[in-house]
Amino acid sequence: MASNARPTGQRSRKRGDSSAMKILYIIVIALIVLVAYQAFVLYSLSGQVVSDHALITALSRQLNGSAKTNATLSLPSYNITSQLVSPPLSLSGYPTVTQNETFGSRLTGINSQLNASELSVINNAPDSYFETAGEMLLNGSIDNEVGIGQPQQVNLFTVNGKPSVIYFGSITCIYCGENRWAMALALGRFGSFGELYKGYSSFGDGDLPTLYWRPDEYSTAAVNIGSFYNSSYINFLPIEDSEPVTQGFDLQSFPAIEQELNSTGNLAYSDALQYILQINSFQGTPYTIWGRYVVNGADAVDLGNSPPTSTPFALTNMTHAQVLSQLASPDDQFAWTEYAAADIYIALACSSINNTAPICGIPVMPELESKLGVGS
Amino acid sequence: MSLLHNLAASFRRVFTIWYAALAALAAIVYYLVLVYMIKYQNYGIFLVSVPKPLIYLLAITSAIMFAFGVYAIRSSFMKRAGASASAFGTAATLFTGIIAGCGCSAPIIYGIAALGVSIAEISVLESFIARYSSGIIGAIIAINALLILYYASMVSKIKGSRR
Repeated sequence: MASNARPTGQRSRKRGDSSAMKILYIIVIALIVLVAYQAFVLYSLSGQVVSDHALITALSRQLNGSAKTNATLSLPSYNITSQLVSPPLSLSGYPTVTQNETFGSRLTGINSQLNASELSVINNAPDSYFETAGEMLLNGSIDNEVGIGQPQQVNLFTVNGKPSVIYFGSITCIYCGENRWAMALALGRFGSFGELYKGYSSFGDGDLPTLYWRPDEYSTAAVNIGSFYNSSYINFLPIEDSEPVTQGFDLQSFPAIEQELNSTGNLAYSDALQYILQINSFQGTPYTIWGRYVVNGADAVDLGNSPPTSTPFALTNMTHAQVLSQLASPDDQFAWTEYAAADIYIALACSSINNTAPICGIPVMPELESKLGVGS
Repeated sequence: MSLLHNLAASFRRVFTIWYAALAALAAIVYYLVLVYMIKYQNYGIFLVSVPKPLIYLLAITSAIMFAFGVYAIRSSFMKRAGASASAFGTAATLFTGIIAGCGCSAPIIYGIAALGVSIAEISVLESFIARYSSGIIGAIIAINALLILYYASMVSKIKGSRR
């Protein structure tokens, strides 16, 4: 009898140990259930890899879009007169790289101007492509993720009497790189680019072939503003943070960028950044304001013909010539996704200028505006 | 030699088949949590801003910490140390998930804006993380490793049978 008896302290310690273990097991099981649930959410949508974020932003918006647009933020209106920046045609310290380099770590052709036929692909894209892509978007035949969620409504940022499209991005950022194609296509429906340049996202962020709005300081930290865009409907105010593209994603802080912009003395760009800060909804690059509407992030994830699952992405292994060839004669998901992504931007811009541009008259546009909750 | 011998003995003592299995399970869970957080911040894509081996190392070291934590909690002499070991491993994983997924898109970090912090202030943090993410995660892994050594040395001082 005596040998079976345990001191009271030892028994209670044993009970304590057991309770602690039970709690730990519950925590572990809860974690497993949580992760399993999230994994189910991630992979369950049409077999695509779509995050919760994407679920909220893209599908609910595009397919079931019935939500109303947020009320306009009570921000000061900007109606200013300012000269827009005329960037240089080339930068001596940042030459075009001519040698062919390996996909994934290449600078081939960086900072080289698009030739006339290449530029024409962007400036003269037929309306029919936008119509087809818009219809595909609405009938669910775009495989890649396209959507923007509920656009945040703000006041127009008017410069020299025209509403503005404000872009804030980084040349090192993968989504900025992918998104510029759609942006250029959309902007090309409201005006034209006198020049565009070949560029890449950073080696650590996909090394995607992309467009630069102007020659870029691709090997140092800088802020590049301005473009060769001209339109009678809108202004285009791009603010691009430049960092070495041979590394990974990088972005200067807003105070640092603000300081650099102020040093340029250009009111339109300084105020555009102030406007972004006042809106206070920034969550990463790219960040665009299309007239009255804020688009937080890219409006599509278009890194190839199907939703990407892992690196390297299909777009990483494409040249500028291949991308432009696809955009000139779209016959795959990559190209149609770019046009569909452009359609979203066009719809927002059209709504902001009372549908006065010819592209606003294509049949699919009113329905897109309605789905986005920005229709009149 | 004596120190190494003691550490090795601690590992042998802790990592019985059940604790090894628990560590493996924890490593998988930590890795899945990291993947989820990174995907959440990158449109559903596992796009890391740091070398992937750092992610694996972080998951492994946090899992070893977790196993030590459980062992310590079961050991009546180290309850508090055990709780802090498992909590630190989990916190390190969550923090790394935020950092490693912070690229172009950084919704978690900018979520701080909901607390009243301005976008400009958060951008300073994002800029710092973007620039030093590999170093920060490397430091976390180093802290994990040092804590593992610390807990191993504590275990080596416990007398008595295996748990």
